[in-house]
Amino acid sequence: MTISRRALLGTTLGAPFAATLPPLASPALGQSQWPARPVRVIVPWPPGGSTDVLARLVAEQLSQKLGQPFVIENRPGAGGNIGHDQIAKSTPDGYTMGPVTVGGWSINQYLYARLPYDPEKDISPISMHWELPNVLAVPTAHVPATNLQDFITWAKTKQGGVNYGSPGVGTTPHLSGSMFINRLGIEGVHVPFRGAAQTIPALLGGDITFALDNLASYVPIIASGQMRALAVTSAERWPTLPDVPTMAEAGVPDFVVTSWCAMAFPAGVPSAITQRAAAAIKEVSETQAMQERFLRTGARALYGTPEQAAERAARERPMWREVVRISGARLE
Amino acid sequence: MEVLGMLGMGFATALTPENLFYCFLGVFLGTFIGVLPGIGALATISMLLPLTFHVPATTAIIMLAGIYYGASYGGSTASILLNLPGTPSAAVACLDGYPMAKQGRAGVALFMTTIASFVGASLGIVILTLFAPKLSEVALSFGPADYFAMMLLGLVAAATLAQGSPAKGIAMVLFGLCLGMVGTDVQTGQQRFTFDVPYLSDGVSLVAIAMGIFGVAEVIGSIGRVTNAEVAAQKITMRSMMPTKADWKASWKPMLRGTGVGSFFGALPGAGGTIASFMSYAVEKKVAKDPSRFGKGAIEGITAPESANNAAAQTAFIPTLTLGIPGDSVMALMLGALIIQGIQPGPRLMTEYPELFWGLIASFWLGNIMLLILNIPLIGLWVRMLRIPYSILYPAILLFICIGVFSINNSYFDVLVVMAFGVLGYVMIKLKFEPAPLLLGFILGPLMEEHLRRAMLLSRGDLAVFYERPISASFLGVTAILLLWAIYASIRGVSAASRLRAQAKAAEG
Amino acid sequence: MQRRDWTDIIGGSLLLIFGLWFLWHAQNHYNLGELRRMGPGAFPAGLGLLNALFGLLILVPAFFRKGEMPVPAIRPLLAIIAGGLSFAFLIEPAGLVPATVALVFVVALAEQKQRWLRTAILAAALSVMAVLVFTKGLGIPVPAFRWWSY
Repeated sequence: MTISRRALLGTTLGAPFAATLPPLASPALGQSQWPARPVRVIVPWPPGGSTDVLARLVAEQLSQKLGQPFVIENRPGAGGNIGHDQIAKSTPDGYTMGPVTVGGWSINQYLYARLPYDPEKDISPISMHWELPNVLAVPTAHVPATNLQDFITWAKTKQGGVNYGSPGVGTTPHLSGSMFINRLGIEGVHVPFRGAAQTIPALLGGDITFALDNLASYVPIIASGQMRALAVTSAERWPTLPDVPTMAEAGVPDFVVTSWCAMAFPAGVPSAITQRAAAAIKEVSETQAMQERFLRTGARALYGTPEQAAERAARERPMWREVVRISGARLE
Repeated sequence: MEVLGMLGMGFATALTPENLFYCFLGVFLGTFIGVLPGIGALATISMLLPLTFHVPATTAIIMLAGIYYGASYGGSTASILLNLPGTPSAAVACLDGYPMAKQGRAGVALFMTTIASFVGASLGIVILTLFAPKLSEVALSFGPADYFAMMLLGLVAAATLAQGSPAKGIAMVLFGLCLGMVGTDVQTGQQRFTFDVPYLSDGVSLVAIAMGIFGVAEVIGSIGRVTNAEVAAQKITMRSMMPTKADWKASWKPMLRGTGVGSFFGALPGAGGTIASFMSYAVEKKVAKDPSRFGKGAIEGITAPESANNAAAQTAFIPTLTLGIPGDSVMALMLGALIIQGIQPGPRLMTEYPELFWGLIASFWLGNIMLLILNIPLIGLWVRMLRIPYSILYPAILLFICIGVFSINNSYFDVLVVMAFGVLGYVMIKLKFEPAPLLLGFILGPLMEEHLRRAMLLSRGDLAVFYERPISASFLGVTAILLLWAIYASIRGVSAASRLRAQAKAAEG
Repeated sequence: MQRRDWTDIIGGSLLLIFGLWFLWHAQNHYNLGELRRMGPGAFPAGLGLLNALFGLLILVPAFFRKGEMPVPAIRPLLAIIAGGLSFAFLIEPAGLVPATVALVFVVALAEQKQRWLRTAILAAALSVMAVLVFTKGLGIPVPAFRWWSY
């Protein structure tokens, strides 16, 4: 008990002491003073969602590491676009950053009729932040299939077609679900919900047939046996669901669809600051404790160079443009 | 018996000095932020989230839960004193609490809400302990058609929230439903009634509407009209704060009914405390011998919803703990805290982490007792606040509204929305329209539409689902009975009124 | 006392106009769909119609009974709204303290008699309180003064 209280005090008082630690990068550069004052971390999603929680995990570590508070500001709305725009339009001095998800980098420009910012020109990546796959989950009580091929056969013959749930139009679960039924020629109706908290009861109640939803919310219900996971959409098997095959292993090749997120600065931040920020994110994210903490929330903690993140955003754009076109989703 | 043994273990966990300390910290913070308008449990819990990494899981969740139900405790205080709903679910407390405060009975109102909160929460815990698995089954058997039918019943009941003519009450419900349409349509992603304003794409903020039509409108209406001389003139003694025997007598049944209503709605994912408190108000008005007292300081009008709200805050843990799915966004955040600690909430939580589950349950009890002890001495302080001259008080009220609303999304646009709804609320006061039915319509509108359309999507356009599903059919049946009864009552009321008029004429003559 | 119930005549007419506009907007801008797949316009269109109907229900009987003419208090209305707006437009560019001071001074105009000294003291006291409670205490990311631009 005393230990944990000391640990608690350690965090609240930790920040001032951390300032006396040796700086991370070479002090020869002028910008190595960064951060010299608090950094705003604009989270384009409401508090409590996984993007928010994961950003808070990293922000707290960065505050300790760099000796300046990293203050979370939630700017939710319009599929993240309000927050993305806020990041894009802030002063590029290295004191405003934020987690931008795959939607902000590679999907929204095809989904929305108008975007207030240009994802290729107005924001620039610092480093990868996390990724999490979707899982194809079916309710055990209502769907007899125990593997993906059986499910596909069963779904194709189902009277009246199947229903699949998603947390909203244009989300990766919606787009991947639409891609799935299109690719395999299954007749299906998309039923949008307001999040997994609504989708899961609808699955358990038998109202909808399957969901290709973000894995995190489904782990407990899969573990309990009330739902069966038929495949994950990551390239390799997922550490928290080691028995579940990937799409390719289950016989649906070329179906790697993950939600991912990269930290972003507005375009124009000096490269030295970006490099230093990327190094700091790497340093806090590669620790064993942080990797485990992320995995428990369902995501994998990533890090890397700004170039790697930019490359991934660019690589995925053609695929998402095609998926958006197939799904017919169009937002204003 | 097994339950008792488990509960004993729970108390052993909750009674350690460290857990007691964090429980107190939680409920204290919760009460404080509940009183402040706009600042909700959500923002506070997310700010404290990193702190919880460094304490054991049980301790962390005990503190976060304390904030959650502490906030629902504190929320009614500002409603009663200033007509300012600190949390949306406390808006109902404005209806009769604020009139009571104007009559100089603020102390009694606060005292009784404290008691009602305690009763609701305590019984809610008992229900949570005994019926969690059963209630979660009930919740699962609700399909979209059933939700729609239930909400329709809710809206018909809401028409009774209005004091004046039922037509004006229903009109306000409908107006609220219309306002609820603003934002992105969940089914198609279409922007509706947003007029290219990106801030409107997620709809109008509920807190901003509540603050505007209750709080800001009341301030505009009050300036120059009331001096609080009448309130200030009253002596604040312990006696004047104490409820009378009649108050107790009038309150215990409503508290029990409120607890029942609240426990039910709390257990449904996505329904929550706000709907629960509105519904229990409607129930009280329906069963009351003299419904005309409501809105003028009827004590049942605050005790029943307060019990409902707090019972719902407890049973809202049911879907979270048994299915691992959050009932609302605060729950989602607490789930996040558990998960980060390496604990998977879900059906196996009770068996895999019994000391956490039962420790949490026990801490609810202890936390509620702490709230009781904490809040009764505060009542005197709150009531004294009413003696501050209004010309000093109202800028402070407005400032707290503005900061509170701003802080929700860090958006200046929400402050503009509050002001717009302040104007609307003032116009409504002048035209004798009630704000409460509007608020309920606003909350239920998007939910009803979603469930209706989802039901149609799943049934492929077959309306038969509404009477083929037993749950939906029974809700629709009750709705029909209520409507018929209302028509009958209004016919009877009209004839009674004309009889009265005739008698009065006869007396004059 | 007026010959007609103007309160409900105004209220009913406003609802009638609003309902009709809502119906018109929903029909013209959003797809109504069909029962099997209801469009985004269907539910709002229905609501608009019902709104207009109830507006009419409130409006018509009001012509046949006596009532009051509602008189709004313009000065407090304008002052309070202006105060809120000045807060909204100052909080982001200037910070919490300037926004607070502006709000207190503007809303003070709601009253007939101005007591400048008292207002100034109140503004100062509330600024200190706001910064202590919200920025320091609750950690809301709004600085007292915003020195840098963004």
